[in-house]
Amino acid sequence: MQTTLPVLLTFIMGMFMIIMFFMPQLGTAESLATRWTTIIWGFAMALGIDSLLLNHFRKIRKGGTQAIHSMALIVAFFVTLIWGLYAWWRYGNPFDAQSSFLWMFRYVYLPLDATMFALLAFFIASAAYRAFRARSMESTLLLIAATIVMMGRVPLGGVIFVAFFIAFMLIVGVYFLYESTKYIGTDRWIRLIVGLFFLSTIVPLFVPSFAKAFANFIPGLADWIMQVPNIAGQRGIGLGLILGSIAFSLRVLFGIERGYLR
Amino acid sequence: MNRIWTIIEKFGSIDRRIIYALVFLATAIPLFFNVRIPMPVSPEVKSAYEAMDKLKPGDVILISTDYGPSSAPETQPMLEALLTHAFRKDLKVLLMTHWRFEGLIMGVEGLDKIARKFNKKYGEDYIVLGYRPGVTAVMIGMAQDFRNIFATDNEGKSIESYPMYKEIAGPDGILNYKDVALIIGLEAGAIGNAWIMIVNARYGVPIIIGTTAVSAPDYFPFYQSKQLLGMLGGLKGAADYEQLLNITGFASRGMVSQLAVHALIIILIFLGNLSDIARRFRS
Repeated sequence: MQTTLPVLLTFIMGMFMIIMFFMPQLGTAESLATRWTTIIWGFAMALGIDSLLLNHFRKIRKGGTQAIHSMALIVAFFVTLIWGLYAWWRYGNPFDAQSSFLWMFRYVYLPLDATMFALLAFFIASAAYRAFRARSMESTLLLIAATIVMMGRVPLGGVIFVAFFIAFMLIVGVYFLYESTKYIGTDRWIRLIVGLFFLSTIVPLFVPSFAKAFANFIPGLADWIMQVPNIAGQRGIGLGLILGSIAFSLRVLFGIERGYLR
Repeated sequence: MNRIWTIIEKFGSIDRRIIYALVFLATAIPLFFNVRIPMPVSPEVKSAYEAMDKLKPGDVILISTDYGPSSAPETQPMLEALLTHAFRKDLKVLLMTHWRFEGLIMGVEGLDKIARKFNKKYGEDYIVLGYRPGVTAVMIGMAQDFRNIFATDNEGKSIESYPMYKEIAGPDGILNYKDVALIIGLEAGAIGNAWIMIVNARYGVPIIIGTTAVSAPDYFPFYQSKQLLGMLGGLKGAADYEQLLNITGFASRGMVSQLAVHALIIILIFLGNLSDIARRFRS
């Protein structure tokens, strides 16, 4: 009975909502069901708070170096709760323009939240420098695409890309010319031709109209990467996700998947 | 030559504190200058602008601010630019959030700022519906009647008590998606998917999404399939919109910082790869 009743309820409500989706005429019944959902969300939040607090109380009881973090969480939780309730009683709404709770939210919580996310910029820059290496064909393609998108989506990105392109071709060209001096015969000629090829690619860029056209081409290329190869990949992932969700939902509705009962 | 290779190899081991300092300077310094560099406007932003521009005075737009302060540098300028456009065109604005109270605070701050600039009045030109938990349940409930979900506004007053409600509700006194000309979802997460899959697919309401740069690729398929009328991706999306409105807001100034940081990251990646190549050749 403990398992059968929840599974039966899940099946009935699931089928009800599916039928409602295709019969908008019965909108009132659906509207009632969605109100229940909102109420259940409220209870879920209470359960979440209970679980969070119990977990951290347990950590404090165990002690250790991490206990201080749990203590900070519990103190912050109760300070916020009591402050919010006081502001509610005092101003009728914790987020009233005069409320001290709004002050706390605006000048403590919001900067902390923003700071946490802002730190990512530093870590990403450092991680990109350390990990973004052209060691295989795939990583080189990713590197080129990322560079084009990064430069194509900022002002003057095309101009800076041209400068990087010239620097890169110049370095590679000079390297091959230098290497050619170490060889003789065909090997020398191959390196010489490759070096000259790289150097020759930058020559047209000294013609202002060509350099301008090339710089203007970069934002368009970035848009193309976002709208063609990116969409192809995203659509594949999206279809896979949705098909997986449908399969999983059916398993839950028919009582095959019962993990949520544990 | 050996000494040159040794120097190049050293490019691969720059101390992370130096990188952090460079990122900080590249971000902060451009913000002190009120500079706007024009750039080509992305087609998806142009579509969003045109969709807004086609609306007539008195049309209702519903803005959902589903983001917190962590993504506000990208999404808040979008909100301000879109509201500037809306109030320039005398549109009626409804504001709500699915993102707990952070979304509400961010939305109300942006709305108050722009409404003051255009001398718009609460209850006559805009209403803040507030926050209700439930995301999909809220969206479906609003399809019948907004009062099912938002019986009262953010101030705790009945939404029917405002003159704007009487103006925008249907002849039967019911306000639902049929009375909304456009929904704008400003998203830091996946709630935009629910707007598209439920409200656009089922009730046919046109939607524009404004989202962080990191989430933008997820929404491009919906723009291509015309389920989205337009979209604003990241700070660039907001800056493009400001450019179309001919204003210099935070996004336009922020793009100079973004340019500096992107260039810095590319230089660092370039140096790292150069050092990697040098090491491989030597070994």
